[in-house]
Amino acid sequence: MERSFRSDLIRLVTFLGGVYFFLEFILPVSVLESVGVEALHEDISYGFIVFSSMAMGLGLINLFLVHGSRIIFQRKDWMYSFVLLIGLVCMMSSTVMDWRGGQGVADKARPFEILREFSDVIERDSTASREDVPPLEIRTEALRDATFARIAELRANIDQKTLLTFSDQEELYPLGETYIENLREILSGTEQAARDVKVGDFSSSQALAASLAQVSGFIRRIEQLNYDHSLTKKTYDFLYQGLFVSLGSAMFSLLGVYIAAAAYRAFRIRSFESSLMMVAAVLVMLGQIPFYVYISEDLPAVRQWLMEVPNSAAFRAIRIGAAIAGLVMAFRMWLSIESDSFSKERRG
Amino acid sequence: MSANAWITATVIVGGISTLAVYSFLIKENPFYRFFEHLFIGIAAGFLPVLTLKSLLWPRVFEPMLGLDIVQFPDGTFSGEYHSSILLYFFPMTFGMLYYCIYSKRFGWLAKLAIGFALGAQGGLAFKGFFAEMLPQLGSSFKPLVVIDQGGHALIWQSLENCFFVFTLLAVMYYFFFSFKRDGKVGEVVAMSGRWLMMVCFGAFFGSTVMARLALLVERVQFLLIDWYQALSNILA
Repeated sequence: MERSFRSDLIRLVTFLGGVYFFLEFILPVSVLESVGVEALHEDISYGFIVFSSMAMGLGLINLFLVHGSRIIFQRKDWMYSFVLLIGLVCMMSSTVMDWRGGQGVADKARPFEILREFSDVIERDSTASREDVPPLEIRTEALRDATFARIAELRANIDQKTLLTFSDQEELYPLGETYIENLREILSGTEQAARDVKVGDFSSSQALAASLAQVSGFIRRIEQLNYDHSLTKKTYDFLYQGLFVSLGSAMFSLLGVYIAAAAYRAFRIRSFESSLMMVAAVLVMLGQIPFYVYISEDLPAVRQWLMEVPNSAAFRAIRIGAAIAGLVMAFRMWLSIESDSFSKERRG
Repeated sequence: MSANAWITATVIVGGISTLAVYSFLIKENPFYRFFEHLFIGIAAGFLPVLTLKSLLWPRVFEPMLGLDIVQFPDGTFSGEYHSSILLYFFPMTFGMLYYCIYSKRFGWLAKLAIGFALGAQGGLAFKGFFAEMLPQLGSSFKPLVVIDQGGHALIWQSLENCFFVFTLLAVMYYFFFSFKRDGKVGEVVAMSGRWLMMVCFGAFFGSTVMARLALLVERVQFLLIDWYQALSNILA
């Protein structure tokens, strides 16, 4: 009785999982709008993504279980498992630290970005005649005061913090000094722009907003330069560029060698079909290399025709057939016909 | 360590790892297996953080914690906190059922989450089929006689379109196993479909080989130029 309830519940949940996208596709937009689903579609789709992303940890847990137990019990090839887990932990922690480092760069420029945003909001609210916000005079005064305060704070910190960090890396010192000189000039300009802001004169507040954007952009550049030369970033680049990218490219290019070896077996002219395949492959390959001019000037055009006409038409036919089969499979899965053994409880 | 030393170390390690992977061409060896496992570990460590960083944090956690709302100098806020964002707790909680798979007693609850994911995939596949395949199907049936603005028939383009439609139909016909093919015409069409499919596979094969070889060339260039340069600098 309980087992039957469980499998029925699983079937029901499986069905409910597919209902939303099915209805969202077949119902007219007017119906979706009237029930309010159209406006929420993006959020609902993200809900599905959030749900699916929760499975992410399963892979990690399984890796730790399988390789961790191999290390603990020192089973065959446990050293490779150890290398795998070390690589995983190092890359994970390095990526998290790089993420935090990138956020740190953005956070440094954030106060000036907020002020720029505030300047835009003042203009927007005033144009819309909003009454639930403080009066325009007070807001303009607050913008001006906050700008002065931020500039003073930054000026005090430029020498103490930024320059000090640059001085740790001697090769960056001249560049850092130039950047900071430029920033000082921009800060003076911003200060002047803040002084010139007049209540109700939005062109003056727009000039201030442009100046604030320039300051935040410059702070980002300085902090990014600083961060790019930090140990965190160097470690991340070492793991990402030195290992992840290199190993990935090497693995995929290794397949090229095996494909070429397989070509020998596949292209041995044993039948008319294999000859057709070989001729098409050779023409496509020759049409893509720079030496085609020594064979025929028309090879690239032949290659293009092969790709666009017979290849495109035949591949489309195969895709249509596969998509119909996929659709049938999807229906069977959705209605729990295909996954019968999955939804039933195991016996014994 | 200076910036240049880090760059050199990155290039040297990149070259060693590339050679380790290529050593598999001789035969499987411990050097290859070391880097193979390292690659799996690094890839497995990189992708979850990337998902968290580029999807879950900015789209879900940041708005949930109200971190995307800032206070302006006059005390007003850049936006309102929408409590509806807390509804994301439902898919998150439901998604946590995946982890019941490790429990003997509550293992069946994981099937609810897996079933839901399968159902959603089914629904999406339905939507995907009609949204993606129908326009393709429509555009496949090209006009068999192409006439330009002056009213003249474009012979080459018409022949090309006829050949395209014939290829499409012949290949599809080849895959019809639902009924027995009788007659000479049916056999000929099916056979042509088979031949044209071979041309398609050959063209695919050629472009795949070229794509992989492009990667191989890039790696060989890296070894001969960047890696060799870095190695020479160290030895010098």
